[in-house]
Amino acid sequence: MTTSQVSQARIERVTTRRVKRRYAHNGAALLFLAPWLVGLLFLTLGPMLVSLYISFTDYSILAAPSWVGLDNYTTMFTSDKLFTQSLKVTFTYVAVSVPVKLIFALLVALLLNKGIRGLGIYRTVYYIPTLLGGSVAIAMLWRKMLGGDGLLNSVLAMVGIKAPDWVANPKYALYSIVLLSVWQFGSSMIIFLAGLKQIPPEYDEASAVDGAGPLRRFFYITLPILSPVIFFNLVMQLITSFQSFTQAFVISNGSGGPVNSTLMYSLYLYKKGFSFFQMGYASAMAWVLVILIGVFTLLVFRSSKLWVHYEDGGKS
Amino acid sequence: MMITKKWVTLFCLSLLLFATACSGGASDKPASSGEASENEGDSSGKIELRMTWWGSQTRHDLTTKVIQLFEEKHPGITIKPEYSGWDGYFDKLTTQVAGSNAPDIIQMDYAFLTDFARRGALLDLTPFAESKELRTEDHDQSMITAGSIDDKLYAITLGVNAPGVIYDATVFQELGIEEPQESWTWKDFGDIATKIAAAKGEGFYGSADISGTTNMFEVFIRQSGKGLFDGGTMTATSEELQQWFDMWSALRENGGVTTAEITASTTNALETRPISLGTAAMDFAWSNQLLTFQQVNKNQDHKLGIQVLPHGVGEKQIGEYLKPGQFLSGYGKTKHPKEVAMFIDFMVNDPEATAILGSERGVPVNSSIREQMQPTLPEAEQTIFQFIDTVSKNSSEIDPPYPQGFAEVDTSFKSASEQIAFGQGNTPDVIAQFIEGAKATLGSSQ
Repeated sequence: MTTSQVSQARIERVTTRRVKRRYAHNGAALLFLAPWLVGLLFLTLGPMLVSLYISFTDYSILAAPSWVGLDNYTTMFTSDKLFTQSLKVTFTYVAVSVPVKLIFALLVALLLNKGIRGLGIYRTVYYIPTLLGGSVAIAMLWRKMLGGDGLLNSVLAMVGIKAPDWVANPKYALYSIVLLSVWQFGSSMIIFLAGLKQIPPEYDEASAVDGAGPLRRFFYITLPILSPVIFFNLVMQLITSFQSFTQAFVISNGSGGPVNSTLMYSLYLYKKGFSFFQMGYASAMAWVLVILIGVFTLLVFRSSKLWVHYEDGGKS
Repeated sequence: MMITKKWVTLFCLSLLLFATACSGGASDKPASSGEASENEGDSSGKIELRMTWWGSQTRHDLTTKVIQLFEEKHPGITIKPEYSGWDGYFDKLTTQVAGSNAPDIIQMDYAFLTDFARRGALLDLTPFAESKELRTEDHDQSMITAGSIDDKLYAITLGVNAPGVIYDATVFQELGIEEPQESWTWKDFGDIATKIAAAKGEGFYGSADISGTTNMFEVFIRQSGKGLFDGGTMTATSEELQQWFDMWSALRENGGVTTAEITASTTNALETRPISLGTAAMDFAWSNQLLTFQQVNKNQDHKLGIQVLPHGVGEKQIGEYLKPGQFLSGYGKTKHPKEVAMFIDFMVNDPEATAILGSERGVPVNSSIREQMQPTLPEAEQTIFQFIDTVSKNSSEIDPPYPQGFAEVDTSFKSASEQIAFGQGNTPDVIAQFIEGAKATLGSSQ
């Protein structure tokens, strides 16, 4: 064995040992991460890549996909009126439901923060709709309640008001879904409540001593301190609202009707894929949705510099 | 040694995590036919087949009974039912086919047959028909033709149907209005609907508004001497669409048919139809549905009747036709094609099985079974048999199955009718948009 060979072998041995040591060091972490990693690879990244490929094909599910390049994307933006309609419906839904829900959640959180007795019970009661929220049963119940001769209209009829069928009228159908989403304010509320509990009562007391009224204290003390929590809730709600599907699906019987007034983006995507056998087109739509959500989240993040205040000045 | 112990613990822990993470997905998966096939060669091994269908509670009960009977006679085979209503049935089926996990025995619809057969999702039943494992000699030839695509038999008719107008005979009698005659026209229909609405007052309608139901519009188009589709194109002209929608608009205005809102909240479930709720006197349906309509009617003492669809003014041919109500098909990738064929044969040709099923899915396709059954039938079923007899005498040949892309055209037809009903956009514009959309859809699906 020549000296160079010996040193080569030594280097190798040392390296292996180092690698081994490093591996041992990371191994624990990797092991714990393994379930998540497997899930990420096979249930998230894999399907995403496949869907990206499929979005450039004409794929009828039952036959093999055939490459069509950017066709799906061009059709979407140039000639598909329902695509435009579904965007319109989704934007309206997001623009109305997210702010209303957050404001409502904040108001309830403020009330609950007043130190009432039985806080735990109220917290639970208000949170229950969120737990049930995505379920089909609740959406069906909602449809019955807001239907032509449902509970709401029966009550209105008692006081002499003849109300429309809220879920079957294209003017109101989407707003009945917005209402359903606002009703599920629980999770945002819980987070707001946690945020409010973090605010030291001294701040409030001090400014009260200085003569600030309750509104002033709310806008100048509570809101700024709470802004990181508001920011978090806003981002979360924005993302889920863009993807909402179940409620519109159930309330419209899967049609997005009447007159496509509840044709949410995800619902149209689903119909394209599973009812009309156009999986390629549906995949392309899914990617457009990913980009849309990305852009909106980014915008919120960018704007956060203007209105989100961190107590440490935002330095992390 | 320390390390070893730590590693083992870690390994176990992560294994546990992994198992919990995975169990969610695995546990709700039904024992698939794939697993059963592992012991296919083993004669003692049970074969499990999955069967799916849509329908009402009545149908679920009857079909489950037939499955039990089949299992009694064939102890080696179990059949796991997966049933639902019509809404969403094909969405789910498509998903299952895409995931190569579709049920072995599938109730199929004429409208979707081409789509599924051409795309290889259905089992070719020709060899089993040739070997007589699946007996078809007593089946009406037109129904064999209807179940064949590109000269291969993909579907066996479960029952023969015809479109008709279901009416509440009791209401007609109560108001002193003559029941619809076989010769009635669309004008008669409109007059009767208006008359009923006027006589019964607010909240009661002559008929359900079915202006958005493609296969009833199809009959209207057939009356002008052509099919709704020719090859891959739609043949209905904008004038014909205009006539159709104008007719319904006029009826909506004078209260003859349900309002836009009521129509929009009505689903395909027969329990939710206005005639079942006791708020209308007529509805358009398939002959076999008369039975369920009768059962779910809020006013159980009311007697329902059925008449052919109204005739066109100066019609070139009778629009009415006999249709295979539903089919039974096998799944293209089933592990047990022979048993699937066996069950299909049992369901349409076995005297006991067909006796259980009656005519809930339509009049039986097997003519000798039909003869055997007729005398013993209850009244409502007699009505259906008679109605089918009437239609067989005066009807035109069924058109070829709908072209690929039909599902999308069907949806936009419904949406167009809603747009008109809710007064969103004027009728000619809506029609122009619909035709343009249908052209694009059918063109791209070729």
